[in-house]
Amino acid sequence: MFEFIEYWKSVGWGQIYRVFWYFIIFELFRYVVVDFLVLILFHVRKSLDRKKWHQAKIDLWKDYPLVSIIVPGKNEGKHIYKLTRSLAEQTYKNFELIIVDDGSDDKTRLIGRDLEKRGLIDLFISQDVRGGKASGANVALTYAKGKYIVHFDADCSFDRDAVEQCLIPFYTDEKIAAVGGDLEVRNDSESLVTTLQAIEYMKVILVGRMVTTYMGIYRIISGAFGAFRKDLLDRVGGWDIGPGLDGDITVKFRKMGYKVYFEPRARGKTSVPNTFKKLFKQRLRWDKSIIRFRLRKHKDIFYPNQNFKFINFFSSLENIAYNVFFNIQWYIYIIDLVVNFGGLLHYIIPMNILLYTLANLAQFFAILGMCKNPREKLKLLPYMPMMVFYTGYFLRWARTKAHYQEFFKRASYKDPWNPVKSSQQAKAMRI
Amino acid sequence: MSKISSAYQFKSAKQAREHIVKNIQSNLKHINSGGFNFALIDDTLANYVDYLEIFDGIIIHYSKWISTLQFLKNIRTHHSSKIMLKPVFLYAPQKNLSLIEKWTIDGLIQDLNLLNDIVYKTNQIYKHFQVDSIPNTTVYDFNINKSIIFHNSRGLSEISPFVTRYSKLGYQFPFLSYFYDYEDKSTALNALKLGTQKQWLIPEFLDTVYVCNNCEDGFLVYREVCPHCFSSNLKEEEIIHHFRCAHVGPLSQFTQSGTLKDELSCPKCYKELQHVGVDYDRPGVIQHCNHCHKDFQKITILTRCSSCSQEIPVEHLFKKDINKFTLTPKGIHEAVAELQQGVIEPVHLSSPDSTEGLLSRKSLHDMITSVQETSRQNSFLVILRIKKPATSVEDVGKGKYQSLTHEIVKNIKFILEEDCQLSYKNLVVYIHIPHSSIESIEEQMTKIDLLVTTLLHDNLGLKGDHLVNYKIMSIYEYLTEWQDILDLMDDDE
Repeated sequence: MFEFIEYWKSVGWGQIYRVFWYFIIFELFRYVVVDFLVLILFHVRKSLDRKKWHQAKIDLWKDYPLVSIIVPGKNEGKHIYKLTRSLAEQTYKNFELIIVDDGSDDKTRLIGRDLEKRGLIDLFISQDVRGGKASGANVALTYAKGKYIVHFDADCSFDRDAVEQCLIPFYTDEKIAAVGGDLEVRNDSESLVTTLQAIEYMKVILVGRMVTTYMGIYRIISGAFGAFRKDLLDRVGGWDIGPGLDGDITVKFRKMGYKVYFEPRARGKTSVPNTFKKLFKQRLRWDKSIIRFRLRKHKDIFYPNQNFKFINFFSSLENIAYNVFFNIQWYIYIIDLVVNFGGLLHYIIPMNILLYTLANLAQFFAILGMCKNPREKLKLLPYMPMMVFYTGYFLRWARTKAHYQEFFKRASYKDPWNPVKSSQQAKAMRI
Repeated sequence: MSKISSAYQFKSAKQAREHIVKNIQSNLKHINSGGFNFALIDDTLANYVDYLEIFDGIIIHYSKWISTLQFLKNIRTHHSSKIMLKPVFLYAPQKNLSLIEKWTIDGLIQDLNLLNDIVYKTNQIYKHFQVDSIPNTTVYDFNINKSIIFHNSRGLSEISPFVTRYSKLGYQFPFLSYFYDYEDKSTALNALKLGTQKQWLIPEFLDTVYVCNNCEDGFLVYREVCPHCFSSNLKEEEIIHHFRCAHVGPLSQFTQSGTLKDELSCPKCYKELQHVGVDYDRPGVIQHCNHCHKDFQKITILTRCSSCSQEIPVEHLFKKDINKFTLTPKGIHEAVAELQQGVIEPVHLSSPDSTEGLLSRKSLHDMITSVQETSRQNSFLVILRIKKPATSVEDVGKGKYQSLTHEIVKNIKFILEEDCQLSYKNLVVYIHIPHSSIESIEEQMTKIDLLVTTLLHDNLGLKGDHLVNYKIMSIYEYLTEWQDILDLMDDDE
């Protein structure tokens, strides 16, 4: 330990920079410095916009529009009743609940029909043949009568004012097409992997989306919790085939010249995979979508044509850069370290872990300052050192494998998450 | 010609009856064949079954089904077992009638010159049972006994219901159902249940019917309605899923955007749909209510009772099991024995046309109690006292006195509705009148008063206007005070 400290005391800043250039340029700058700055600006603006916000709330209650809450899913029967109870507690009452059963082969249909009969669901649509998440959402959209569409996952639950909070932004700016809500992990105590995901969600969703919203480059409204203007959803024709359909539809809104917004006060909880194997599978699917949608389907964002918008260009570029290029860059960095500093790895690796952990801790305490219930989050503190391995190695490996599979093998078309019939059509159309 | 007017245009019931007999004889033909004497009679003369007792068999000349049914009902529900169990055939030339055995018809005749089958069947029927061993009775709850006896007389080991629109349940039981009108068909089930409890019958499941929960009628109109407003103004539409763009919408969206009438074209991506299962499919159906404009998938089924017009969801209908029943040897034996025990204090009358069908007081009481437990209709008990003639019995002669009393009671029975039951002792008549109203009973009592006064005047030279006093009691009143009434009955003796 002493030797370790002495070593790093003896090398100059130049050497530190030379060894940890990847951390300093890509991680520290973007995820600590920029995030901190933007968070401060975000909260300053929020304070200044308090009056505007208050007025928007009044406008919402004056308008009191019908909201269609749509919940497509397969075999979600066991979650539906709890969802209806959560929605019954909402402060905003003027909504219709539409649940779509996408070819379930369990008791979902029976449960849904019973809840519909009892008046807890306004419309329960059962599709005999599975069509996929996008088709489930689209059939609900067809029969929705609300001015706004709120899309939930069946296994989520929500704060009492979640629906109200995600509607208010629409009344602050008529260019806002969609609002994403904050999602926390419900089962954070279930296992190590769920605890690590709880920390990740706080960083990526709560902080990350606040920052990207402020910067105007917010790019994914989660399918688990998102609100949309129905007129604009109809204009874009609803959702397209997934995976990545939530990011895809966000891009479509941005291309139309509309804004998307993240509202941290609209809170929900969701269950996450409780084993590393399940998590790995999920992230493979999520990470393939960046290649399929951002690099393939929406590559026109990068074209300098009459539809070109710099902000969209920058948003996609930033996303692709950090997820694809810098990911590849990291492997180059590791090779560089091994080749050039192979004999010092016993100093470098612990220092690397320390630096990342300190950065994570800094982020964590910043997050605590923004949380509704910070004391509850303190239980996550002991897990911070493991985040280095979780995000730095586990998720990175999942991301790398996903990019490779999608780029060279178009593996997302074989993903059972989508029905084969849909994937075949998508593959034929190269979308 | 009504029963009442036939009674009043003559000085006595005897004269009236003689007129009726003459009338019937002109419409009745005797047919002798194979040693049996058959009566061939029009089905319009259903009221004259009383006079067919002397024949070995009855051939009903079919004109209309409703008339024939009424005739059959009058035969099979007759208090005289000799009539009730009599072989009955239907003469229906050039008619193709089915299920005649369900209506307790023993055979169909196309040609009156070809009666060999009829003779054979009649022979078999009389061989099979001893008619004389079956007593006469009109007691209500002996109907199951009579049904078992009838089936046994025909060599049938099963009582099997059959489908018909003439019954509230949609099913009738041969013979047994004659004793119950349209409204009371479920009471037939109660009678069969009684037979099962006594181990006279072994039930076997045949069918389940669902009936109105208000009036138990099985004739229901089924309607598909909106679960929100219960309107039946619905429009059904298939939904189509286009795989390529994940668009899902009703069929009309896909046909609107097509250029040709049969073309399906996606309203989102404008591609033509070519091949079901390859580029599109039809994952479901959506209903739209044209009244409240709501959409839904699950239709609500409501039934409307064709009898009471009540609208009932199918889940709230009453379920009734319909069984067929096998006769047991115990049932065959005990049905007769119980019938024989049930009729006590038989009326011994000197008159040759003695009137059976009058009850003992105990039987009347038991019957009233049973009726009250099973029937929802209004029932009344009338205690009718005929004024004691000033002339003493010794002066008139006991035989004539009894004969006169008997004549009076017979005539009273003639005036009353068929389903009334009577018991009498000396000059007090106890009448159970089911399904009636006070006004109707008052009207009948007025006619009885006139009749009795006329008869007493003509036969005993009694003078005065109102020689009959009566008291009308509801069955509830009777059952509350029955002990006192029975004591009074004893005093009357």
